[in-house]
Amino acid sequence: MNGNVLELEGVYKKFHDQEILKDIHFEVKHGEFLTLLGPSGCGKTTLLRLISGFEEPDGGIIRINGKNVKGLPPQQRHVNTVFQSYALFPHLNVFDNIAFGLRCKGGVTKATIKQQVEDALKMVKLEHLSERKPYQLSGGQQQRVAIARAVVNNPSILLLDEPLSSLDYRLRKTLQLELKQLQTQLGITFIFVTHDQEEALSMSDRVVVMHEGRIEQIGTPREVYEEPHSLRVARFIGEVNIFETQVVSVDEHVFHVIIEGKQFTLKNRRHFTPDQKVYTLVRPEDLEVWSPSEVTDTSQMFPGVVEQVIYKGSTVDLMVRLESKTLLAATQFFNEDDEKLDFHSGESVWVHWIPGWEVILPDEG
Amino acid sequence: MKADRLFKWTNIATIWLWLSLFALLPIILVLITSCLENDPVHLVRWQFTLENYRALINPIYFKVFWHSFCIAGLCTLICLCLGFPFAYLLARMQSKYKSLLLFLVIIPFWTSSLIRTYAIISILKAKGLLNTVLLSLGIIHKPLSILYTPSAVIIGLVYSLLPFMILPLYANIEKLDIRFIDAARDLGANTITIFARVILPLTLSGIVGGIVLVFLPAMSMFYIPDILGGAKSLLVGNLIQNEFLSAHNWPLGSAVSMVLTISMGLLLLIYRRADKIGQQHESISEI
Repeated sequence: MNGNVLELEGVYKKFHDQEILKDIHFEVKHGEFLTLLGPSGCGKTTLLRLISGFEEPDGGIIRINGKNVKGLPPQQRHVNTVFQSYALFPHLNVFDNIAFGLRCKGGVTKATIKQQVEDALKMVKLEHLSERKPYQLSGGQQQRVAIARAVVNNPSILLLDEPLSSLDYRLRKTLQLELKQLQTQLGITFIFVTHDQEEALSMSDRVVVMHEGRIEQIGTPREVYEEPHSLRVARFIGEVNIFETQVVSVDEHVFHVIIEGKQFTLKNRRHFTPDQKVYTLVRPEDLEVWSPSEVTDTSQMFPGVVEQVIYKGSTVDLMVRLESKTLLAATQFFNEDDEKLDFHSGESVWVHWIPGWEVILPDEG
Repeated sequence: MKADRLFKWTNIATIWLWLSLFALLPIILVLITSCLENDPVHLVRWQFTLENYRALINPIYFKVFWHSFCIAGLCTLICLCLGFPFAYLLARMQSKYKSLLLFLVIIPFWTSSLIRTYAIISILKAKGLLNTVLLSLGIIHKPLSILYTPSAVIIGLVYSLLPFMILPLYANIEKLDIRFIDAARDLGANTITIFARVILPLTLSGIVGGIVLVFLPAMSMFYIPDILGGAKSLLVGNLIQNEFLSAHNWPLGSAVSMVLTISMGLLLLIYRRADKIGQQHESISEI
């Protein structure tokens, strides 16, 4: 055992000559919370169905607990799924829904089933609702029943197919926390599918960012947010300002670039060559906006005009139009030592970012 | 506001009027007739009596009812066994021909069922299509005598009523969310378990709907036993027909009709209870 509960090697899938998944390659460790993140149609649900055994890949190897599961039906894979909108059996009450999997196994005594279902109910704090039918439960309760129904079978991996997408924002927030706690408590590997990047960042140990059937990047939430490997990842996860950048000269450690007509010296982390087309990426929260009266040295700053002020409680989002017509998003935080955050539209400002917080990526063509 | 209320009341009044005129009134007329005395000259005599119902408590009528019940039951069972797999495959089909196939199920309704029943004679008779084919294939060595037996009646009934089984089943199975089957498989259920514990309970309202739509007509379609069963096979429908047209005993015929209507009512009651389960199912799939 190498600590991997799941390994995918070069997994490939097509439907009617259309490639759905290409060259999927990753490992999942025991007890990990992994999220498959991507826009709808990127193949993440198909990938989930390949792991659960509802579909077979057209190429590549899937190993669960070190064993190649090619040809194994879903019930023999030690994997259970929490389906989108849960698919709780409407004709069975909560108890019977949860007991369904145990009863299918055969050879489990009634007393054992009762005990295990009751434990599962206790785990999701629904002991008092075991007689209810699914339609008598709220969305959040249904989700917990769906989780209990799956984990009572003690799977190696729990697959969750957008389980929160049908719930309203506030409930989703609460359930995100609950789900994460439950996962820590159970120690079961979770593979979670979502198109909501905020959800992915706040819950996962690692995120697999997918696009058009390919993996764009795998990393911790912090890595994919702060060090995106591609413009696509940067654009998909969070907001980002992208500057077209011209490389002037390259030294061993630094290189000189021109952004919006101003010269900058940046760390050369990726080894670019002169005249290469690159982009400089800066997150809105890494941009600082100053009134002209507050600044003296403007050599590393861009002049612009505030176009829109969006008050969000803990932050103020500014849309700033530069002279080159580029529109920037800048998020300003309220804090005690910043006395002035009182911008209004039409105001002239200077925009600046702290050097080193930018990400530079080559043109993807 | 005022126009709204007017609209609402007009609607309700129309529905009530329609139902009273075409559903309630005929039943009341039959009920009244069934409680009157028979008069060969004036059809009925205005004198209240329960004699007609008492007359039905007679082994001969019990026999006809029981015989009809068995024939209709068998016919329904065959329709269910033939209809369910067909409806299931049709509903689950991912093909552009799906609506065409559904259309083909309905097409026989375009021809009079009387004509279609006569057509069955030419298939079932001693020198008919079926025997000719079976003989020439060497499967049988002398013609089967099916026509004018209860088998012919059942074949005729099944043929005529199969669409009434398929359509409610199809409508019901098509609504069945495929994820329930996925979920059952995911939890380790085999094909038999999935069918018995997921598909069957969730399509129960469709099954009951089909049974109601097949069973009751099967009890009362008098022309099929008339044409295919000779005079030997008597259904409740034939009994009613005879009382009205041959014996000219309208009150007794009405009493038989009422008994049939009440049994229909009971069956619909069962159907509604099953449908309640179905509605709960729907409310879930909306979430």
